[in-house]
Amino acid sequence: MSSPVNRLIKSPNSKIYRRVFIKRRDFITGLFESEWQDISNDVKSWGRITSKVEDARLFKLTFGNMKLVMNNVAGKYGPHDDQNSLWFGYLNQQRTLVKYEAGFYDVVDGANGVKIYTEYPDNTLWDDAFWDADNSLWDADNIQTLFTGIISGDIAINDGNEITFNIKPLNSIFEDFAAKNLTGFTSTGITASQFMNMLRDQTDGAGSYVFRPFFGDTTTNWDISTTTNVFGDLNTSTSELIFDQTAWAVVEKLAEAENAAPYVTRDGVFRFISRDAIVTSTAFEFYGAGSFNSEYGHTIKSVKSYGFKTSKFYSRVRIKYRAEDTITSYEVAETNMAVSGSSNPWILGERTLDIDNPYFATSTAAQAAALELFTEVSALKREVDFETSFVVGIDIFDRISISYDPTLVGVQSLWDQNDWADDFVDTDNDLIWDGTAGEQVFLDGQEFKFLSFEIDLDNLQNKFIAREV
Amino acid sequence: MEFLKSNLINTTTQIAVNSNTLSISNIFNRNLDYQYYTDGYNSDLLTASITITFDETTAVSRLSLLEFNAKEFRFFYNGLTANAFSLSGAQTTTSSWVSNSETSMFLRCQTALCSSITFEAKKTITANEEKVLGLLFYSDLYLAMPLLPSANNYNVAWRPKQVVHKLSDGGTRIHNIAKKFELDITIDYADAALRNQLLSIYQLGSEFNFCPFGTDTSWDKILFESVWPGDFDFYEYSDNNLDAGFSGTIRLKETPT
Repeated sequence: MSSPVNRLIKSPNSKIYRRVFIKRRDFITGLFESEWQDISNDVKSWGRITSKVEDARLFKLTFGNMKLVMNNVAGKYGPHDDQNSLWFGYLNQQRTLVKYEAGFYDVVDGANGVKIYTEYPDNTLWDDAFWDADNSLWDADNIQTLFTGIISGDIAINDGNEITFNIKPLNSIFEDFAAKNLTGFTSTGITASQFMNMLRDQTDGAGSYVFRPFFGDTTTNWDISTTTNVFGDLNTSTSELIFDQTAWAVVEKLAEAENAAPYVTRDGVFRFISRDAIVTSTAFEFYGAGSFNSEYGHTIKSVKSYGFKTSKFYSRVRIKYRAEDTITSYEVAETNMAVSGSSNPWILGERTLDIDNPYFATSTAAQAAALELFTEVSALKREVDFETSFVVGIDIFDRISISYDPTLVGVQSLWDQNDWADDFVDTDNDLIWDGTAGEQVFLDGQEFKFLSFEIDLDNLQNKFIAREV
Repeated sequence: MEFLKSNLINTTTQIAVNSNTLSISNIFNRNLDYQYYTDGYNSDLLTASITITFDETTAVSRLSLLEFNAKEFRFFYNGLTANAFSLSGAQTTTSSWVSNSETSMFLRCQTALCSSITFEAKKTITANEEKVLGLLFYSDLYLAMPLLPSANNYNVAWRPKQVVHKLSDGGTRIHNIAKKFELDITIDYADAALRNQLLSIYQLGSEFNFCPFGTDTSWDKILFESVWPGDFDFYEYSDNNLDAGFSGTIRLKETPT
């Protein structure tokens, strides 16, 4: 029997809820109000939630900006100095917190005539057992929340009675803060986790936290794994590594050096944690034309592209981990080229992925990172770009499988061994043209991991790009 | 066919119940998937009550219940059980029922000036169930249409907001978001007084409620908060005759929940 949320994902006729909330900042204290304000009823266009991992730099996660278009007939979304505005009496709209929720809901008749209204996924039914045990890195406690961010950018009023808000992901608050303005460095340097703690505990000098208010004003929403490598150059705010960087740029460099993942979860928790090893079982299975599954149903609308991604093949990873440009400043992981049918550098040509990161504490750490990346990029792998109906709850790096065979050709082609082989015994040398293995896309439960996703909340569909495991 | 003022129940702070305060916002949530239900009152011997208190004395002439299950229940106002509403056009003339079997009803009453209204439910249609209620609606009249449209000129639809996916095998999947009423009523031969009354509705600048055929039995449950977008065209003469009155179309669309 399908899990409750799978039943709704595959249902031909399901009900969807979408909500968006804001938290404004007090005009005097500058701090966020305590309760979320639901503004869902005025939404004209919800926008698209996007998230992707950068090609070949797996520590670098990017969350796209969203466009939220509001009906402003009543002037509720006008500037804060307009008394009709929801922001009247509060700070202006910039850096207002925004939270999106969406999912499925179900109403059934319960005992005593009481309707039971349940939203999926929910904390009790959409839990580790269904999705996340395989990949705890991306667990989110409040799975109903799809995105948390802030309003940022120009806000223009037009005579069409609508206002468009640009929504940025929460990590943008670190991008808008110069690292040289951070306080808390020690003369002997600090570890990556100490730097993250420094962000968490950063104050304005008068005891008011700088970043914490965006994360629920609590230390609970900071999940920082302890690291031990001391970065000696992270010893002063005027350090060369810092003075011209944003706080987020430093976070990303440290993450690369520590093989960690820095990101803000969908429900607004800052995380700096070690990357999990690739999991061994799938979080979700996608099925499309020519396939059938009673648990997950048919969710694929189309496969936009599928094939080997030669542009992401590298035969060498070279990390420059010291500022000076000498031979000892590099750590390299590479495949030796050989003229053979099994040597990718020979088949595809030699290509080098160069990374410049002076944050690596030791050559050992740089070597480990180079090897890790090399493992990922040195194999020629396929990627698939596909579109599905509304699926919630899966995330970057989740391992999934795809079954898709849009051709109408049957499994048994006329061009089989009866016509071509010397005998009826199937061998590798037989010329067998299986109808399902021609030039068309044919996926039979192949496993991938997500590199990017887009949740289109207006059209209630998802777009994924996944890479072969 | 009536234009009605906004629901007088619009905030939880004006609602007092004797159980399950967590779901009291569902009393005025127009999405009937959300119900108010009692907790621990699944006995026909126990009376559940919902008291709505107004900031100031308020005129009330329309009462409506949607998707409820009370068999024995009553309304009274200003805290006095003797203050029943005087109903018109209903199966009973006072707002008290002992053997109801309807699950939705729309009631008209003589205008009462109320500081509070209490709804009490004792027995349920199926005995000994929790009392449930999809929507409670108290209001007053803007306009009762003196003219009704012909059947051909009464066009009402419950339009879904939905996304229809065409999947890779040609199959279809629907994601439903909500359904809203849309209504076009073309009226002929409206006199100048009616035209001006409709113009007042059109010019309200705020939402209002519309109930085309409210009744306390076999009600079609069409009662929705709406706005009137587009033109006001009741300036056209009916039948190309200056003395025949005016023709035009009332176009209503339901508001967000």
